[in-house]
Amino acid sequence: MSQPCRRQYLELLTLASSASLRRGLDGYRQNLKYEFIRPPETGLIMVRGRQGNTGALFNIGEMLVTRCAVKHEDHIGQAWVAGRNAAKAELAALGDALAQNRAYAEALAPFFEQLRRERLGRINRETKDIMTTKVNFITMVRGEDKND
Amino acid sequence: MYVAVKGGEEAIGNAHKLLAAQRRGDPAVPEIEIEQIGGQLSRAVARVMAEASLYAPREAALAVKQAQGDLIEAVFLLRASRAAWPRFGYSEALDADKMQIKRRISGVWKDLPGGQILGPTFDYSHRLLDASLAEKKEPAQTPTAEPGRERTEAGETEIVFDCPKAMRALSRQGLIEEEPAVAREPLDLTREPLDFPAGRDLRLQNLARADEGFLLSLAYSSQRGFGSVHPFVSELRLGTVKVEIIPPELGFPLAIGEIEITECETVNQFHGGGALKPCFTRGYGLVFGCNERKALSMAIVDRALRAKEFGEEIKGPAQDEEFVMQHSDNIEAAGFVEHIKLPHYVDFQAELSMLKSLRENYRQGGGRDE
Repeated sequence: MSQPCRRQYLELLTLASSASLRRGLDGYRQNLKYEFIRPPETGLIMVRGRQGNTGALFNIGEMLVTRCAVKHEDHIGQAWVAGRNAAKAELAALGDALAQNRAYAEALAPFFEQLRRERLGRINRETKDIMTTKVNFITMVRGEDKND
Repeated sequence: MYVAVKGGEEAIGNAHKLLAAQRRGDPAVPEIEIEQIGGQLSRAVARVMAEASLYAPREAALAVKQAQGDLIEAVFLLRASRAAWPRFGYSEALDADKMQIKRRISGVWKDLPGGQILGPTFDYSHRLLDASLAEKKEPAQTPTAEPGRERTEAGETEIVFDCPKAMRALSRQGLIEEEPAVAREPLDLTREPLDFPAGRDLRLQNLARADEGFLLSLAYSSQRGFGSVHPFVSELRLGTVKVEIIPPELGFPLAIGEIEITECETVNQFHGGGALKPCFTRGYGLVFGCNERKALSMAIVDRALRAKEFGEEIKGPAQDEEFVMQHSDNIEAAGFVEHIKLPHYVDFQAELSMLKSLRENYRQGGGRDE
């Protein structure tokens, strides 16, 4: 599978809710034989920003993440997810391994499409709400100007 | 100096039992859940994450519960738990330009590309206690929600609204100092001890985790004249950004999650003159979570701390980097202030006997007791 494509579905897996991953992948988790290359492990990523958003780098603070790697047949699936969430990291890593596997990729396509739609739906919902708070300020003539 | 003490095990155990009972409160009232704290006290959680310097909403909510709402204690708990986890690495730089915006306002441009978006704000509210919140009622609806209907969004494509940085108008005309990207690795104050003079990278890291109250007071002092910073807010934005890393096993940038941040960019008075073309200068605030007051304060203090860089006279504490950076961390501050409540019995005995001998000398020298 090409790199941009893998990047896209890895992102879908990472940003999906735990419940969505369970719904789509828990059946595979229970029925397939796979091994941990790296069992779920929780740790820290130091998050960086730029001075003025464009300038030199600085460290903002750390973020809690969980990473995991599994091997299913010849495919190694990797996952990094936010927070302390071993179950989600394991499912996401399995999802990555299966998506690289021709035997599963096609069956999983609707699942990835659903993840994409769920995310899009949430963003669009939030955006619509936020846009209702867009304001046009009108500058008023202040009282004291009358005496000018 | 304090001394080791022995004993008291039973009393300490009972004190902690008492604390746990106090935390639980009236057993007839349902126990508060982590999800309730995360969802309904989200700004407390945001503050704890920012000051603990650890983005972990669930753990921060747990800390707020465990600390009974004492936010500095909660920061302490979260900061301490951080020590138990390994550091996996550093992220790529966040890009606030690509934020999914929840709020964005500008204090300098009335009409700007993307517009003024108020978002969920306390601004323009009347600050009157709302007695209806004390009653149980239906959950509040968002502005576009259709009551009684589950919303299934919505189209094939993302609704994109273009919201370029407000600062762009000034930077395009060269009216604000440039902020060019440099490849230099920033220092990390969780890795090396603080040393002065500190660069702006370390200062911003220090301010991002600083106590909000301390930063607010410093910013206020600077605005009132103990310093010289009283800026315009070019832009204040709140929203979520993706955090990306380049895992060595993959070798390409990968989103590992989304975090909420508040960013503030200020426009400040001039630098330059003489041979140098005069321009506005920048202050920058970037904080985990919805923390607007702190992001504003941070931007003011960041600019105040650049006094030396611009050859400005140091007139107030907000411009003194050693003063600011050594006293901004509420865990260090609380530790040092609160340690004096611990046993200092031997110390005090020494002072007491010193005073007694001074008294004795005084008496022998002809002084009289009252």
